[in-house]
Amino acid sequence: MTSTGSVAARGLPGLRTRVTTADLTRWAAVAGHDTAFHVDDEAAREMGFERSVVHGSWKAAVLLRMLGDWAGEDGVVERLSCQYRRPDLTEQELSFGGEVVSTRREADAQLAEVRVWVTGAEDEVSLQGDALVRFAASPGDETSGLPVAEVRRAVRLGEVAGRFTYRVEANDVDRFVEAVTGVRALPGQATLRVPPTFFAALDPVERRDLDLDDLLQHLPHPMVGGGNAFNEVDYERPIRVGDVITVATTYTDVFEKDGRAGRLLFRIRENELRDETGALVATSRCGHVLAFDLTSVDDERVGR
Amino acid sequence: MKTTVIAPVEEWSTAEVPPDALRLVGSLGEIGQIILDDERVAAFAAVSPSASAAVTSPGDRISLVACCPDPIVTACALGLPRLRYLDRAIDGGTEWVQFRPLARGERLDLVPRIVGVDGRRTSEGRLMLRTVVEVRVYAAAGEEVGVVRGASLDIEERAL
Repeated sequence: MTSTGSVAARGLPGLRTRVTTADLTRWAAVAGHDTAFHVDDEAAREMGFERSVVHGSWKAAVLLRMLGDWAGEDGVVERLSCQYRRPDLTEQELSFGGEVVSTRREADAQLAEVRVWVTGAEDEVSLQGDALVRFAASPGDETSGLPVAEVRRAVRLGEVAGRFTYRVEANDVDRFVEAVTGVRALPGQATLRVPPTFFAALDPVERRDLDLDDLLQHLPHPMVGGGNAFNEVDYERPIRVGDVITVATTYTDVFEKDGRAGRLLFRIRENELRDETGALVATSRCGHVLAFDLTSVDDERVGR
Repeated sequence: MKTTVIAPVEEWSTAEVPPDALRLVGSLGEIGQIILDDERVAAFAAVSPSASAAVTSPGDRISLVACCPDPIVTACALGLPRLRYLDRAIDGGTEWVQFRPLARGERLDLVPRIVGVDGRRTSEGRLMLRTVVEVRVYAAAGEEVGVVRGASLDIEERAL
């Protein structure tokens, strides 16, 4: 069984090897890459190198093999991208390595993003790259992480989860401006200009009009952090006092990954704001993250 | 005094790419065909060392390397030109993207194409042209099983 946590903990093996011209000659023969300076020291010297230059594709192939071995029977290397940064020469010792930088779970799989590298002389990085490895999820995995599938169902992922209509009043705008800037509007001088950030004030989730993922408050693991991961808005026109805005909220993604604070659960939602004529006023997006400590159980939450 | 305008490092564009090189973008090579037979799979397993002693039968897991170990070499072998306007051509990188496991004995078609040419100035002011080639790998009935991309860099030895 492979759990998300164990994927991250399952260290990549790494490899140190001294490459010979014979190694490269074999690669050249199999891969058809027989450019002289890769297999002939004299040809390499004519190009300014001390000895034959190791094929970049050979180094990348060794990394792909290393990742495949690490993935084992339940994993598949879906992608490996490599950039060749500097040449390595034969008879140098090369180190091949990698580390998991993040993991996330999909419905039937766990995905690991892996950073890989090759270092050569003086430990300088001669190749750097990244890879995506897919591990088949096993039934036990669901109990070791967060209930992502349940949250997806609860927020009606991909569907409009709710529509709410708000009238933009001058005193609402004044209170928003005061909360954000500390500047209070003088009596009789209500704010007419609505700040662009006011779009966030028309978010049904922030206004507590829409609360679909309450189940997250009752997980057995302590919540150790959380907040907005990002907010963005594309607007077609400014909001004006007097507007009647209908907001349709749709959750577009729910996923989890490992972070410094613990296991992170992201919920991404999109709000479509339309005026009384049905014209699009703006589209706003928000990513919210909660962090859980999966290594401990909160007694109060489980009623002990 | 002559003033040289140099684009910021890492800023790729087609501004300094020769027009005939830009016309190559989209060019298709010939279609190649390979069979993932035992000999081919074993040969590739033998030339890339493994860090894992636990892998007793490394040929059982077949990667796209056995189909297309080097997309630039494959593309050239299938009739596409390698861009050489400047002093030295080197390999810039490789990417393998595999859509499903590969099986022994599969017959696969390789379709090479030049997908992009651009350029930039290095921090020393040398012109560097980049050609990206792509080899798409298809199984029977046109099922795409993977794609391999490679970057070839064509570099000035000294800034003009």
